[in-house]
Amino acid sequence: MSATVSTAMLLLVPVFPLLLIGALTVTRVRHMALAMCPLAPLPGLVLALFPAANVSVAMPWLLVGSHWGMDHTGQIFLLLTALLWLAAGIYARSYTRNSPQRLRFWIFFLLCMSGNLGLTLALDMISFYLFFTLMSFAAYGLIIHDNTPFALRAGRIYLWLVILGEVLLFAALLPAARAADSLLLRDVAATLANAEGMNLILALLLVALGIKMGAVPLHFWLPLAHPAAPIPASAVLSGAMIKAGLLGLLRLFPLGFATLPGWSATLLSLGLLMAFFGVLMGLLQKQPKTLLAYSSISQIGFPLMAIGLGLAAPQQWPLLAPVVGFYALHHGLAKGALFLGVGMTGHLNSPGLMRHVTLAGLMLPALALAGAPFTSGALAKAGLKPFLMLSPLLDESLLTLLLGGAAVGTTLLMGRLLLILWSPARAAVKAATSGMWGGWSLLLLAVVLVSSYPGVLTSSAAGADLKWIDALWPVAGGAIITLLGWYSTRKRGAHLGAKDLDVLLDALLRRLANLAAALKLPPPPRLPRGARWQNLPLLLLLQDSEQQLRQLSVAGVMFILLLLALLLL
Amino acid sequence: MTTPLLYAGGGILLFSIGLHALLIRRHLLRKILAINIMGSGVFMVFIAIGARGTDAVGDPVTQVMVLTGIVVSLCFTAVAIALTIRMHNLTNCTTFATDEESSLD
Amino acid sequence: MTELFLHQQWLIWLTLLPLGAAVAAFLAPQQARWIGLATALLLPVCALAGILSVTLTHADPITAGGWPTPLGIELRRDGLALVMLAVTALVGFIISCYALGYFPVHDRHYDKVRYFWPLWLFLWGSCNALFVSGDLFNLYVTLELVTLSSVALIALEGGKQALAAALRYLFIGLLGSLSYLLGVGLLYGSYATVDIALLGEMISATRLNHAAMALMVAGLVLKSALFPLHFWLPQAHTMAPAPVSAALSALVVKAAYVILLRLWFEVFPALDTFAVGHLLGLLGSIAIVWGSLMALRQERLKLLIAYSTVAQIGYLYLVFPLAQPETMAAAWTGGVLLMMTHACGKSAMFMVAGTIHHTAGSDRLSRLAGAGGPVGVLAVVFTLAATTIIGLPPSGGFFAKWIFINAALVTGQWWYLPIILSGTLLAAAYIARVLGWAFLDVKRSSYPVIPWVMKWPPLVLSVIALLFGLIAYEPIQIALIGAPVHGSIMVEMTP
Repeated sequence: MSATVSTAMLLLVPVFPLLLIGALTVTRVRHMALAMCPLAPLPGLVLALFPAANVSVAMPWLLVGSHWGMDHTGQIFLLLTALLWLAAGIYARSYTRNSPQRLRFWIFFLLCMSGNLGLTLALDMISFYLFFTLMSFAAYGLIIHDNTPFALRAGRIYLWLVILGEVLLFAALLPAARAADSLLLRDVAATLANAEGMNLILALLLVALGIKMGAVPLHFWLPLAHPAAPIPASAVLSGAMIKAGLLGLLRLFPLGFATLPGWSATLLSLGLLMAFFGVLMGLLQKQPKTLLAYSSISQIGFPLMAIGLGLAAPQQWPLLAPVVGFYALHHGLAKGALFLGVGMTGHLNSPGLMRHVTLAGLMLPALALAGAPFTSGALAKAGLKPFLMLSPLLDESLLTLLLGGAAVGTTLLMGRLLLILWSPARAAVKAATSGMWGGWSLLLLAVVLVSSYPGVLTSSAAGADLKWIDALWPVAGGAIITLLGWYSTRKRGAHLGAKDLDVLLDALLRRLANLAAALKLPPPPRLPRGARWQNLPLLLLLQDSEQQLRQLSVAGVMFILLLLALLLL
Repeated sequence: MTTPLLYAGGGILLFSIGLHALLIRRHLLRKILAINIMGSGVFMVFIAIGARGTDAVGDPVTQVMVLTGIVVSLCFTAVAIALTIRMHNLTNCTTFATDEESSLD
Repeated sequence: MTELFLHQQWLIWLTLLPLGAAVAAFLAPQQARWIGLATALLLPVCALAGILSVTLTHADPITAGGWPTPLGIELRRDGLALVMLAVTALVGFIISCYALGYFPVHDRHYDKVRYFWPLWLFLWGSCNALFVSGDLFNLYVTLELVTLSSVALIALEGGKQALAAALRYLFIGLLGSLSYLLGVGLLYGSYATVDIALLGEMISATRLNHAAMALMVAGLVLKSALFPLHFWLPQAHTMAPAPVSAALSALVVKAAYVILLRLWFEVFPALDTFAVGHLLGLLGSIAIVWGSLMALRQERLKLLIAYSTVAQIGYLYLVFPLAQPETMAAAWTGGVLLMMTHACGKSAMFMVAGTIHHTAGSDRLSRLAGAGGPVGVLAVVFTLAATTIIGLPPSGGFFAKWIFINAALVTGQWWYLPIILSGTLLAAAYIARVLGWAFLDVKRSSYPVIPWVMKWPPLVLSVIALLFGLIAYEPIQIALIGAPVHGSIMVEMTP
């Protein structure tokens, strides 16, 4: 592409969805605009697939100097984001066809898309923050789309964490910009290691971006919000938006510029914790979308570990960065395909060809996530392996074993997902329409193709010859355990499920309650019905003092006091 | 103790008396009077400043200012009295009701 | 032709036109709406022409009546005056459009319609006069005119509570301005001039001048409703009709603040204002937290917005402690930017609240559910305006806060960082309370019919509040014409 065309394309990436929103508000062209909506990420896709060398544009008049452009990291994330939004859009067009809130859905969908696509291209921190904010707040509208009490609660919790994240990010970016004396993300990353209060800035960044990534213990919104959203929205939430936090870490952390053993160990252990925590919690779930959300928490732990390794050895980062990017791409596509697949399960219980096709379509991304041989998952994990020796925390062999264990866990998780989806209880799911098939197959195709995505792993994994056997044992082990578990529980007619834990917890609580009753302990204090947080005692106290202030005599004394203070100072 | 200084001191005193009454007195007419006394105090300070010069005439600029100030305070007094009368007609009351002072809901 | 156009004395017209129109609207109440609309259409043109004539030409300074300074009155044509005139013209135009729908022709309360237009035009003209005034006494007179018309506008509703709020506002306004006037008198006594520029050159740090400063600052603080002297604001702004509330929050509160800004940076630098600045910063910080907490408590939308104004005024007062020598320009610019963007955002919010009150009969938060129907314009306007009130990008509020925090870090006053951040959090919380209701899908039996002038014009304001951030350079460049401060504004930004 010529430079002008690619620059125009670059500008169109975040702006085109916004233009479509403008068109949606005009009644006369609304119908046409609705038809165009799924195609809104096309400029991004074209730009990511046919990149021009060094496409970037500086707009000094916008936002005190904006700088948009595409580098290698941005290209991978743009590709992932555009693909996912395209597939989700095609899927959503069928999915929301009869929804009375269709217009609202598309407006939030496009807003969120604009933010998510834009932040992959933002090279200065204010643009990045702008797109990040746009995406985060617009996602609220997608989460509460169904207006069920569950969705509203999930939305409320999500909103609180978003606001907290925004404020913390703001607090982190400001001193970082001051230290770098520049608003460009590149400069900030380069100088952050020497910044005053570097640890505080990094901690703020980790928390702020970690909220978006579902980092434990700030993950709790994620298993609520992702399942609450309509299926195409959960696909992008879990596939693409969760990666925005990762991209933020990649852009802002001093990767390749400084050795920070402490932070390296922190991120490594956090990543390991998330990998196992997500699997364990996911295994307890009965809802397929909740299970997938926990799986996302588990999977995002791996790129976090990779970032941790990069902080231990900055000189290795140029080799490691593509691995992280590839991991994000692989997981986003596979997870998106699985989420969309949840809506296709109506075919699983109908006889004939469709059943086999659907089953195969679900198996493919599940196997990829588990890291089965010849899939993108195996490639991604193999790419990470040579760098495990950099770990400052654990021995390489132990780490390898742990990763293998996590892979077994993921396989178990995927096995459980398939069993849930296959259960007769889900026969009621209505059959998918053609648009849903279109979106889903697009993602499945991408999952297949991504294992041969050119140039991703050439630098890092080409040297290390791929041993498929390494990838095989965790998957095979997990599969065997799943089958055994399924077989043994089926005999007893029971479900492998969280019920045991629920029941156990319930029984424990009942016993505690009985014990308390026996000891005649007072019941725990409870807020009266209808009490809301805006009636907190502190606020009521303040309100009382405010009413005092409103009396003219009190106010007059205040005035005189202020005057005296000003006179004396 | 020169005469201008005496006038200025008197002005400040009037200002303080007015301020006190404005805050303490509950009747709205008293409050209006108090504001006017405060205004007179300020004008007296201005007159004292204008008369401080050695020439017998005094500074015309301060006198202009005081005249303008009197006009302004006249307008305000008129509006305040109109509002007070309206309030008296509506509520048969010439003070700020206490419940209004404490509650907005 | 262009020469002739540019050399018109547009700034004088900005004052004379609305004052004349006010008289005309009073004398011809049947035509008041059309007189008001015509004036509202002309004033933005005059403001734009004024900005162009100042930026493109170097015309001679304008003196009213042809008397030279110090005796005559010279009009200020610096950036601060220009941007305030422009914002006033913009907000005023939208308020006028909105008022056409809010006060319909065949209203039961004919008085309201009859007196709104003259009083509103009078207020507009006085605001414009205030912004171009360059001497302390003229500022006093214009400030009194602003207060007088505001008092009458608040009383327009006519109820018992509205009258009480208006009277209270009148007393407070007079107390503030008399205190200010006493300070002016002390300064005149020492230097025999009230011209801001001349005073700035002559003034020295004496006890008497310090006392004058204390009196003036106290009066202006009272009039701009800084904590703990904000007590009159929620009542006054809530009792007034919605277009008036919008004007009060957007313009009237800012009028006193503009005077303080002029004094602080042009007259007081010679005085020792270090401790006073920090006191104002402390009160501003308390105002941010206090106003936001109070906003959280409110059950009525208008009150919530009024308390949000209390909090936003707190931010404006952070300018004074942050204006240390190396960050003088940054703090000043942040304050001006916040003033502009808050004027647009807050008036849009008040208009939305007014529309809801107008149509639903109450502005209780619990009545908001489903307001305006699916994808209601009202919810969109409120959300966009909220962006600037919370301080999210790309609004002007975001950049103002960014500049403030940057200045706080440069001068080592890091404690303003948690204050501003907690203000942001609390603002997000009270806005979320409102929007939480607006997003509920409650099926209403009937959606009220809202005239389009009450629906769409506020959208313009909330979009412009966003534009102040999106293209922050342009308004800042204009504001910095002839500004009393020099230096860099923020990282990578040194106009």
